[in-house]
Amino acid sequence: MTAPAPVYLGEFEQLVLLAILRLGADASGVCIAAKLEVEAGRRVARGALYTTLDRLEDKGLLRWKIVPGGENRGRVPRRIYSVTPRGLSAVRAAHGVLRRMSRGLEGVLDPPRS
Amino acid sequence: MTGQQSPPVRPPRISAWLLELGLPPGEHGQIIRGDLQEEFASRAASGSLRAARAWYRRQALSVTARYLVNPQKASIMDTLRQDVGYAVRTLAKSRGFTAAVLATLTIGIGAATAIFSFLNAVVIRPLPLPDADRLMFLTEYQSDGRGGPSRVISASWPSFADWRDRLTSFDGLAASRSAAFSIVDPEHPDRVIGRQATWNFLRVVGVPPAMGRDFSQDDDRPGAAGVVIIRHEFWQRAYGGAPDIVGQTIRLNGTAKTIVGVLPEGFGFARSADVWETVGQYLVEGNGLLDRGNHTGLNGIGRLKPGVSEQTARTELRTVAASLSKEYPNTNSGITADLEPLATRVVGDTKAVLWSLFAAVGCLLLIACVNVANLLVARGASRQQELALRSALGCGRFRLIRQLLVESLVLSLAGAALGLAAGWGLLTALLALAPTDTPRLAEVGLDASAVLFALGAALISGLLFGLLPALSSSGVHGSQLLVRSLRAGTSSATSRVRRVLIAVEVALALVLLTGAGLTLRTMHALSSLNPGFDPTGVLTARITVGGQGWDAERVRAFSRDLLAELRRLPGVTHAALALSLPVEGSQWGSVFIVGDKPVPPRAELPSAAFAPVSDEYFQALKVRLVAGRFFTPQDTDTSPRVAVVNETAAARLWPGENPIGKRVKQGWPEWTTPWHEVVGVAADLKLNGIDQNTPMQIYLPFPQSLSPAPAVIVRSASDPSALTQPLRDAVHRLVPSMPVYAVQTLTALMDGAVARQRASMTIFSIFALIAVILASIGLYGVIAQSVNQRTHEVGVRLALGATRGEVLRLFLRQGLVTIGAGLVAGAGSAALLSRFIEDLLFGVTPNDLTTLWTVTGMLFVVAVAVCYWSARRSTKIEAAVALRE
Repeated sequence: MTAPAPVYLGEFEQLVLLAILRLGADASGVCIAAKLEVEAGRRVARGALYTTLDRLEDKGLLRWKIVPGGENRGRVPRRIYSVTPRGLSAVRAAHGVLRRMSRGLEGVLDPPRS
Repeated sequence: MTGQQSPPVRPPRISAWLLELGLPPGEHGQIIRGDLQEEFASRAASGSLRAARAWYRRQALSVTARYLVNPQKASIMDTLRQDVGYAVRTLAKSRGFTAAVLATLTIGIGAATAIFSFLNAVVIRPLPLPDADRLMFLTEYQSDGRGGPSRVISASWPSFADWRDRLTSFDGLAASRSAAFSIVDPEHPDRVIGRQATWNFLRVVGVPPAMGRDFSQDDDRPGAAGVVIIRHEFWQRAYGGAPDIVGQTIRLNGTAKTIVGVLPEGFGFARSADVWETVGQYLVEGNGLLDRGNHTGLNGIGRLKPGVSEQTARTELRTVAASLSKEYPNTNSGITADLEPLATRVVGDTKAVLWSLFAAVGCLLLIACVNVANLLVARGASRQQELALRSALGCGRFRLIRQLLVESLVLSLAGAALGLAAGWGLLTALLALAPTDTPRLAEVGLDASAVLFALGAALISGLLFGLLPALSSSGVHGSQLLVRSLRAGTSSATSRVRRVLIAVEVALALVLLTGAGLTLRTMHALSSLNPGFDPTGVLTARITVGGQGWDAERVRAFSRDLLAELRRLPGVTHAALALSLPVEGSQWGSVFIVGDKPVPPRAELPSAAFAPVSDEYFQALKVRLVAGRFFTPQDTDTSPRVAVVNETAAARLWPGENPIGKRVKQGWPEWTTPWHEVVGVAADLKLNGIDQNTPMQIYLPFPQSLSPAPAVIVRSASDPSALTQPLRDAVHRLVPSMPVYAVQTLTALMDGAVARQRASMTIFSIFALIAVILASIGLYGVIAQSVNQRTHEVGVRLALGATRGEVLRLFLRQGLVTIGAGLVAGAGSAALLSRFIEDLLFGVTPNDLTTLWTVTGMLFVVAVAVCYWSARRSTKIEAAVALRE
């Protein structure tokens, strides 16, 4: 099996995939949004989030399974997302690029220590 | 999963609805909604409810916007496509239902579109002239004594000239009058409708000639070289559209004129005059145009200056007319002037007819909608199980409503397409049926606004009848429906809705039936009316004696010879010449004075329809002689001047006296016209149309009062139409170039006179018939369904000893209540609405009780028959079978 060509990821897509990786078995839509808002410190428009999830699914970078929902959501089932191997290699590739590009710039990128 | 429990706090409703609309259908959308709700609940629990709601609203907008603009998955457009596909499939499956709905809509929308096209062309659309709403029609009236107008007498030339000089409300003021020309050509003698106008006429109405030049001021003077402008259609008809038409010569009334221009195609102003010439060349002594007291058929047309209102112009015109009355008391006292928009003038009486037909067609469209609504409600009821199933499987309520709405919209758009086709066919039929003197008939056609109208009618009715079943069949939760629908019952709300709809249909049908009844009685009244003469066996035609350059003696000799020639034709019993034909209207209305009575003020002078007629006129028409004698060949220009008056004139002028021997004089008191001695009284005959009252009529002997374009009347012992060619030949034996035109039997002429009433009667009757059929179908369906639903109950009743008659009565009673309610509502509405067709009626009042009772009774009988026929099914129920079900 040949490795598929690396997929280009947008910044928000990278963040979403990283959030899913961090959340593991808890990666529901609600938790992904919360993770992004807490860790990335930015407001996440749900419209952007859900369309991004759909897009990543279309590219074959993530998949999901259905689990029953609780009373707090009117027993509507929820999706738990997980990153596919193809998704993982895309994150790795993106991360590698970032690492390579920032090598030698530590003095500039790291905040000065007092 | 269906046992939804309300969360402790509900998200904002509108946003929730928005999400329902915008999110992908099915589970995906549901999960996103669930996510948002979960987060909303936790935000509301941990923080303020208000902030949570604000957050929810924001997110709902963001999600909806994203999914609408950038549909990653199925979005609203996809669901719509899905819905349409699903609708088409379900509709195709229930063919009977779909066919019934489409047929109903085709009829309703088709009729509405056709009538609307007609109405739009004739009444609503502005005249095809630039800024047509600024064009005013001005003319002179006999005053009603308080300065207001009472009777049109047309303007005299000097009055018009004074208006032109004094009025400041108009940018341009032109005058015109109709004129008939004979084209004297030995090969093709022809007679054309012409118009004499001031040179600026086309400039004022804003339509320059398409070819050649317009009239100039120099053309519009006494002694100017005769030039004419012809109509496009006349150019095509008479010259085959010859390209070198400008500069050619045309012989009108024996005088050569040069064609200088051709009007643009479709210029249908003023009864489609074929030939236009200037009026100014006739402004010479001796023909009456310069006489201020002579109202020679001229009418003014003015274009209002920008910013000047119709009312301002009217006030100014009245002021000018009032000062003319003071300046020229001999001719202008008792005369006033008035104006009205040209469009109003052109459309005239037809407006009322068309609006009432439009109201009738509105009724029909409404019935069609109600019928379709009824069918949809019935279908909704029988589909409750399907809807319940879909709802149980997670289909939202909005989604269901949308599905049902899409279904009715698909139906109504298909109906609109079919309706347009039907409308086009109907319009063609209407054009054939419409009286030929209907104004602007040439402009009628299925146009863009008709298409828009059909689409509008379809969409509105789609929403109207789509919403009702959608709401009534989706108002229950899925789980409840599933349980209930398994027991084959439909909600009583549904059948109540259906009964109300049927009552409405019955009511509307009654309104239309009343209209049909009233117009039918009008036709009956018209045809059973004694016209005062016997139209059968009479052939009429018109000839033009004037324009041959003959003197009076020559005309007299010709008419003597012609009558002798005609009387020699085989089968002819009588032949006569006359200025006016019965029913066609008076050609010569004039004031007159009575010999033995004091002369009243000018405004109160009596007026009568004057008619020069030859001897045998009364015998040819079989008019009854009341007193004295009719004219004889001995009444010539050299014999004493005599007159015959009609009964109305005799009774009004000389009540209780013997009119024989009295004297009358045509014209204003100062005129030098001769006195005529009354020698006979003739029975009244319908002169101005069959439905009009007979005016005072004064007949003068033809040799004593010559007419340039008389009508020829011949009575035949056999079929009068066989005389058509012999009559032409007889005229042409005397003068080969004399035009003979408008040849028709008097019966045909009379039919034409009631064409308007006949057309409205036909249309009302067809509409009423359709309405009754639609209402009957609806009624049948409701009762039949009720029987089906209550089969079990009937089984129990039968088992407990009820007779079949009692069961039948049970359903009949239910139907009768509905019919009764409809009839009561319908009778009330009919009584209220029928006065709108008052203008169409004759010999019957709008709230005629006989008509109302008759049509109510008829509809009742039909409805009860339908009801019985449909309820009879209940008697075929077998108790044992019904109970087992």
